[in-house]
Amino acid sequence: MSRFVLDCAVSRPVSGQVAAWLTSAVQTAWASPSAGYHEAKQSSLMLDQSVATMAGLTGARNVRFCPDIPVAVGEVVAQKAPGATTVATSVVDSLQVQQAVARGAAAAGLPHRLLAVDAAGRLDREALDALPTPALLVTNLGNQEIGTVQIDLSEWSRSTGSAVVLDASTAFGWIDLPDYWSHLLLDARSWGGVPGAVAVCASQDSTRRPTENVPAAAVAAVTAEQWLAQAPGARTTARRQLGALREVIANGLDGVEMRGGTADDLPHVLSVSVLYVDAEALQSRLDALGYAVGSGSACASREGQPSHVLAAVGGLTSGNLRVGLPPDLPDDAVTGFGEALVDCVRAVREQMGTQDL
Amino acid sequence: MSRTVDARGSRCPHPVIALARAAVAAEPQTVIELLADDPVSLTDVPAWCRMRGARLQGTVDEGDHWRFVVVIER
Repeated sequence: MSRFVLDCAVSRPVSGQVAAWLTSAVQTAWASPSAGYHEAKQSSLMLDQSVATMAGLTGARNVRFCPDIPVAVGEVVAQKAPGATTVATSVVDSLQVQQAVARGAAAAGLPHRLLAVDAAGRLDREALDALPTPALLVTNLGNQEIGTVQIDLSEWSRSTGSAVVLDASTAFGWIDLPDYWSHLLLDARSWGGVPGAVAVCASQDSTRRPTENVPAAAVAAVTAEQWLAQAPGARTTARRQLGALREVIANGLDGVEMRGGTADDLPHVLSVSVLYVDAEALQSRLDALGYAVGSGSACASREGQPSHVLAAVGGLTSGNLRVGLPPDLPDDAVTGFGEALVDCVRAVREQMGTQDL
Repeated sequence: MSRTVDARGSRCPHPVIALARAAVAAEPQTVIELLADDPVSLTDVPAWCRMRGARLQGTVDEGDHWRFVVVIER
């Protein structure tokens, strides 16, 4: 049976080719880049090349690598907080970003704000205007659950002297990068790199201790280069596939709410909420048919909490599935998933006796 | 017309299903009071009302549960 992973908004499966690159990079760059012997210089050289590649791909003046998003947010907030009066993020940013921003603000002795969003999940203009400035704002470029693309923050940033740290992991390659950021955070897992390398791309020069995980950074840079070469075609394909998927679901089911997949959104992220079904049952049935999808429902989460993103935009949190398309699925796998989803919803509703509601 | 649906002790998606079952049989303008203690209901009852053309007249915090006052409009 074929198996398709459609939960690729935050991390993609690591390919055999990438695993081979990692093996080679680990053998070349196992040493700490800061040590003073030949092998360490090999590590240092590989890290320099990875930094240069990421800088070239993003237009950053300076790039460093952090092990994960919380560490990256913590470092950037510590560095930028002296110029700010407030540190803010939004209610639809990932929980790890929200928590790291709160910790960073507390460490800097600054107030911390969680900004409201509009019904689509973009920063609310009034909430932004009410924020004491200059502020340090950490937020996403494209939402990892519902696919909405952030409002243009260039004018706000310029007129208030505020710094914007953009978590662009989910959006990277899928849409063009804006130019108003002071920092971009890019987790290599989102384009098929390996865990342990978040590129922190800065628009100005800064110096930081180099990462110890040079192999993950090297894989991040090589895969980013490969992904961006592939991305223009992937955008068109994903838009077509999500459009077709939306149609299969809308035609096949009553009581469905979908977010994402419109012309204003990221091309590859879709949230589907279905009335009167248990999300965990739906997810398990799809898994058994060969489709791996995420869910934002409380019953399907390990923490027992519903998606804070859906709650913030007033969405239905029960019966929720999250789709993040990878760039290399054939069209019929995506429509096949849509048909399987429709069949599974009908089956679960019948099992629960809710088919006539 | 008014009736009460007690969904206390049941978890998502069951409170919304109980509400929908009551709504199927209801005449337009019927008021349904849903009692639920699953916090997910705070998100999903308003979402259900929006999707199904019902009106959420109020949400009352009763201490150990919530009382959702829903008007069936169709």
